[in-house]
Amino acid sequence: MKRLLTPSAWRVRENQLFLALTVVIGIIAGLGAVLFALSIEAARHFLIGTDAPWWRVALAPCLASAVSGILLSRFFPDARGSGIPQTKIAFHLQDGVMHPRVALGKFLTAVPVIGAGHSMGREGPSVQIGAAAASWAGQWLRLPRERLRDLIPVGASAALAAAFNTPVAAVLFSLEEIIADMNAPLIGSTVVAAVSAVVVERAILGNEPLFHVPQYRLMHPGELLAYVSLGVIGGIASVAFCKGLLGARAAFQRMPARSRMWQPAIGGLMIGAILLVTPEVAGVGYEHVDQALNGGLLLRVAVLLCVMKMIATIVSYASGNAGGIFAPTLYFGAMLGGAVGLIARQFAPFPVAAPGAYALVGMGALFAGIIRAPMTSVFMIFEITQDYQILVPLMVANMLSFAISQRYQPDPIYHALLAQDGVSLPAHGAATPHAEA
Amino acid sequence: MSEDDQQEPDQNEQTPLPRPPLIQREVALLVILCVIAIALFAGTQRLAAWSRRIAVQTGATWFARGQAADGRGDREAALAAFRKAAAADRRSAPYQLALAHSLAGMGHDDEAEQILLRMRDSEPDDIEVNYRLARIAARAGRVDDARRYYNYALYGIDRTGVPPERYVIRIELVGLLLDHGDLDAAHDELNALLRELPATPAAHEQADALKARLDRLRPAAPSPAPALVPEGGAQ
Repeated sequence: MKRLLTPSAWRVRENQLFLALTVVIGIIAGLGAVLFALSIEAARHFLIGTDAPWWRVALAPCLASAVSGILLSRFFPDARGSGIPQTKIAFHLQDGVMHPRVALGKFLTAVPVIGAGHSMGREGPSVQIGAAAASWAGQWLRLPRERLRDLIPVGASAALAAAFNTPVAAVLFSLEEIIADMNAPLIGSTVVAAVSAVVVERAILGNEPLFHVPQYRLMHPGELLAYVSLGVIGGIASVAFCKGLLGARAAFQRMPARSRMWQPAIGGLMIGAILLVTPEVAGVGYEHVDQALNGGLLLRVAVLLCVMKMIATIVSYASGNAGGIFAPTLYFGAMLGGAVGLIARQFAPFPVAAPGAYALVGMGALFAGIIRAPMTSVFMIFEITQDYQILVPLMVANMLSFAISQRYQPDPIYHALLAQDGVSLPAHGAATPHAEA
Repeated sequence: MSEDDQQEPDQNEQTPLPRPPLIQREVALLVILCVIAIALFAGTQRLAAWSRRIAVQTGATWFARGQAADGRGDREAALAAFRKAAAADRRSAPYQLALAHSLAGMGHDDEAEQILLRMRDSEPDDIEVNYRLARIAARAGRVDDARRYYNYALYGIDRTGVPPERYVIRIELVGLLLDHGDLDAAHDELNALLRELPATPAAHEQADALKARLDRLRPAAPSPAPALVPEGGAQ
């Protein structure tokens, strides 16, 4: 007892401190992600409400983007877009240093924009907020640079775990996408942070899964052909989306520099017009993904929503708004898969699974094709379904989509987006900034 | 050895090392971070409670609209409204049931069944959930599933709303058994039906029709006791 009161007993070794810090960062990043998601819901309630008139639906994205555009231009230039490219820059180029202002800026600019109906996701911003919070905590504790750098994937995995309720996929995403090294020694810390984040997320929001997915299985060996088709179509759709996004973004970047502040509002006007035709593509849109996963869509509706969501996401992102492409990717993956499933059901000469099974595999295929994280996509779908039966078709479709996307769009989307800004990140190892960066 | 080197041990002896602080700076900052996390947790929890209240209100609004649309026969509007109600308040069993009912009414049996199966996972003995599942299975020609669900519905517990009366479930079960030629089981169920039949002319008409059908299909079978007709009821 006497020994416990001596100063030496209170000396905390660096590893112990880092472990404790990992748990605390996991909790804070998880809470940040939950707060972010709830704030988007609140913004949606205030801006659109239950039954908004058409003019409000049309104008809300433009007004929210106008305010957000001013904030982004004047105060938070690092908060544009998804947040994952910025997190990768912080890890690879800046020794883990992120300004706490980034987290605040991302929160303030993304919440109204997504709440007003822009077709963007909350996962990317959550990752950036979590990583920025982790970096801030590390800087406050005056951790050495290498330790500070290690905190970036820790915060990112915690935030993603809480935002998507899939801790294993979040850890894999950090290794595969942020660190770009599946053998990174940080796996222990990212697991601890992800678990801490999911515990607090479930303590607040309950144990409700993000999607209600029935158990699906391969009904006939011939059905693999339908999944092969889905993988091929998914790969082509992934390339189309990436090219479309990069092209539209380049077009916005070619506009005069003084228009940069108002570009998000221009995107907002276009989104308002899209929402008048297809209000289902507004915001994160997980309720429609859930509907697709349960086979509740008609063929023409699934195709229409897939195309419109792609266009809306390209417009929202390319115009410089703050928000991610993670959730939209899953959205149009589910719609595309659902459409393929409905066609297979109509024309296949053998028994096929319900269209929801294809929607599920489509989500994974588009994620593998666009985000280019095939391991994450497999484990993410597995965590959502808790079902091994769908894994074989999922892996087949994922690999095909991944291969086609890699062939025709060699740079992964986050790398290509950074390249447009003049930053180049090699897949592994040290990064080389371009002249502009 | 230089002079300085010779003096160094003496200096160390003379100036004692500064006593380290009782609590390391990093530990203190970690404690502050914990306090921030607790405050953030409390704030997020309050926002979550508010968000939940809004979701419940939104769900109730859409549910009322769905019922109104259903009442005036606009089934598509009703389905859309029930969908929004169920999405807003995912924990509400009546909204899920209304959505499943509406979907089944529009011919979307697959999706309706998925919703009901999910509900059955949490309430396996609920009368209405099992009854609706039985009807979907019967429509799909899955007789074994339909019988199983009808039996669960007959001996289940009402947890989600106003369930159908037991004799209604049994009438449908007997009809299913007759449709699929399981005459012995139909005979047994018909006997049970006659014991619990309420004293209403409509119920008796339905029971008599089933009995007549059974007699036609199996004339040699011992006929169940005739249905009791209430006094003054239609003959």
